[in-house]
Amino acid sequence: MALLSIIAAQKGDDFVSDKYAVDMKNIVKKFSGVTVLDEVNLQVKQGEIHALIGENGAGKSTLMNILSGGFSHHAYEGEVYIEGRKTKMNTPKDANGEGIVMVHQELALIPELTVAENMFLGNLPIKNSGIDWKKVYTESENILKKLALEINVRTKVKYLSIGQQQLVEIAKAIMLGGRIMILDEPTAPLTGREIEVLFNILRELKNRGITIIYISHRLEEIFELTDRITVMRDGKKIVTVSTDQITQEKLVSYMIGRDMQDYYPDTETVAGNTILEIQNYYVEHPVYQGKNIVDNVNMQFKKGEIVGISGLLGAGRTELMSSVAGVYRKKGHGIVKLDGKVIEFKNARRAIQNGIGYVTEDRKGNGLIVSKSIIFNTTLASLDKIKKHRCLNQKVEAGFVKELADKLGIKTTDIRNKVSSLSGGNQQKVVLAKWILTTPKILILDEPTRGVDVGAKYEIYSIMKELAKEGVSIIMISSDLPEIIGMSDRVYIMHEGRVTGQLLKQELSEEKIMKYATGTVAQ
Amino acid sequence: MEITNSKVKELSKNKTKEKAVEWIKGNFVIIAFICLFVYASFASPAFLTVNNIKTVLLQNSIYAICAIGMLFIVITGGIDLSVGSYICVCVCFTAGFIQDGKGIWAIVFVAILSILFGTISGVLVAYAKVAPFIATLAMTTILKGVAYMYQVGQNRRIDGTFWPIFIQGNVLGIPTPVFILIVVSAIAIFILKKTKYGRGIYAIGGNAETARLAGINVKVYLVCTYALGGFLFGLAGMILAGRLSMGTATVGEGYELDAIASVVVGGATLAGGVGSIPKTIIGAFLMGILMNIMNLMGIASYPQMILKGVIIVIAVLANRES
Repeated sequence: MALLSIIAAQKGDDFVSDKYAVDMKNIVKKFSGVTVLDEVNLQVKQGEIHALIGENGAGKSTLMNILSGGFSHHAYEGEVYIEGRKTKMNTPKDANGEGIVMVHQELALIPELTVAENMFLGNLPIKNSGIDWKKVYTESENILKKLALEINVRTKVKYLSIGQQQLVEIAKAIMLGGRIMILDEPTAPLTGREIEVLFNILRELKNRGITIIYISHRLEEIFELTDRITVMRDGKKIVTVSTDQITQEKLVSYMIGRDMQDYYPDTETVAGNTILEIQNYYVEHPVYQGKNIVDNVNMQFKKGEIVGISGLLGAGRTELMSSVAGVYRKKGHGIVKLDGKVIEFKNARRAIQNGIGYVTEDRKGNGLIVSKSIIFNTTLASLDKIKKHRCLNQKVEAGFVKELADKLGIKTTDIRNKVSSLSGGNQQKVVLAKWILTTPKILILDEPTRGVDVGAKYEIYSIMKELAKEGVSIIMISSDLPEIIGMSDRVYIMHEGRVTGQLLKQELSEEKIMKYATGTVAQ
Repeated sequence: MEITNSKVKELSKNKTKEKAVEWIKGNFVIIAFICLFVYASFASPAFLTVNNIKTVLLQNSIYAICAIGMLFIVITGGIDLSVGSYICVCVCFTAGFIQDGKGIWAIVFVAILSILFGTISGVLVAYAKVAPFIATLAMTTILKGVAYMYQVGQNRRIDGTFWPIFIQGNVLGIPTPVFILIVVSAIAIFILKKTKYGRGIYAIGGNAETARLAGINVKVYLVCTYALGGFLFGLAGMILAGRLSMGTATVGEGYELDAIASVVVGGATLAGGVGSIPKTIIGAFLMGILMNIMNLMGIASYPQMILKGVIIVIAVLANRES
């Protein structure tokens, strides 16, 4: 503390506090009019491991981006004090200068360079107008040794495991004089053994007085590792508590606990016969060998039923459903039964022919061709339906699209307009129109209302209910808990590739879902 | 009220202006073509004569057919650099087979061979995931090598055989190459507008992943596209053999660049997903007339090259989306 006081005293003005390594005051951040951070205060003590938790979209990443210089200080309101000094950071480099380093989920090392080269990247020492390679290798070796890491500094980074790469990034951060370290979901890609190594190193860093902000969804890890916890929800800070003074249940209730908005259509739907069954289904992890991203999943879906699939990021929901629908890059193993018959969809074409529609979560990336018209996009998956005398017929096509556009309320002056000219909600309706035109028996929707405004959300919900009423089996993957609760007749909850719970409509509550989703309990 | 009114007026004025700009951008190649044509008619009395127009049409039919083949490939977001080598190898084969007395089969064989070459490029691109630039660059030297090995310095003159007579003659009163171009264009327009395949390749160029998820067989469509391109390049080679009445491995240099230039001047983008047959043909003839008028006006060939490059840059800038 004494050292900090000296630094603060040298700086003179702006002296406020010597208690906190990080003190963010009344942070307000808006993205095109939408408030994503609302008067957030975050105080992190010197030398503690501080957990930052919240649902997807709670504002954790935005807050950490501000702290690590991802946004210029002009782009938000509020004040940031680092080790007691008021700072105005414009770039990540400024943040590095303040001793703040962020270890991102996506690693930023260059695969073709060695560990040592990566560690010194951008700061290569010069001697006699050449690079001082001796220094590069000895110094990086020293740092790795200090951290008890058994990694050869001359190995190319591409030969390291993801876990090792992460540790190299941390070592690099320390070498750069990092005193405040932000880790965003560091354990997501790690194996159990690698997690142990990481935790030991983090504890060691803590003992050396380094402050760590730890973002994670995994409550068990948070209880194992951290000293204090800050919970965020809907862009607000809910609470900061000591880890030893709170239970997991209480924490979950802080993470959710919002009023259910009353904007779900109350169309009555009746579930019919089972149409799709998934049994003992596995999907290998796309990157890590020997790990399953979907692990022994059993599910059933009925006609006319809306089934929600809930879970946190990385729970394997998208991988499961896209693999069943034949569009995932890794083949799934297990049994899929359609109408009682075992079937395997080799590709999207087969799935569509068998009445499966798959609305992906990435509307612009692979849901639409944004440079093409509404007509073009709507009929893309059902070109056989717009044929007349064996040729595509533009008149028939326009007729279909016009009818669907009216029915779904796609707001546009002309169906020949480019999809890129539409709002998010209307774009999503074009995606829905595309899949409705394929006359699906089962429609899988991955995050159907992401990036859609409230009004259009209601319309999309109505369309989903309407389809269910007509006997379509709707499967909805969603990270939006109120949406899951408001729309689903039944919900499967996944955690780390497994189904940890199943809840019926009358049993649904955010608390129960979060318990299953965080792996706190399993059925 | 007054303010609102004037504001509305201003807005609608802006809208009209925007639309006009958009229309000009969308039809830039047509406008440019008309302007050039009118200018050429005044600039040189030799331009607007039956003989000269016929020459322009004849010379550029081969380029236009290549440009159509290139357009299909460019629509998928690809490119084919081996056009010149196709021309070269197909000129040699056509003359050689005819000389060997294979008659009309010579034409069939060359057509099959060019489709086969295209299929190889297509398989490399679609299945082996080789970048189109690289795959067709490799094909460029392979085909060129095949042509030289086949030719081995022999004289492959085919004067007076059925093929040169056909190509140098007329069909329905139209010079044969021009007639072939008309037929090819009509079929190409039909394929792009009226078939699932045509729609599919626009989708692939627009967003291959979206196309795949919509059930389009991306790989097969890609192979078909390179095969179709190969056939058209081969056809251009056959026509050239007929016009030259001989086989030689020294022809074909630079055809790929002219084809790419026509496609781009015709409004397609190399990123894929857009492009039209009529505009591509106009693009090809725009370049052709430009060369023609410069020749008539006695402009030397080096300044011609510079101007050609400038035109391509202007066309690309004009076509760029705001």
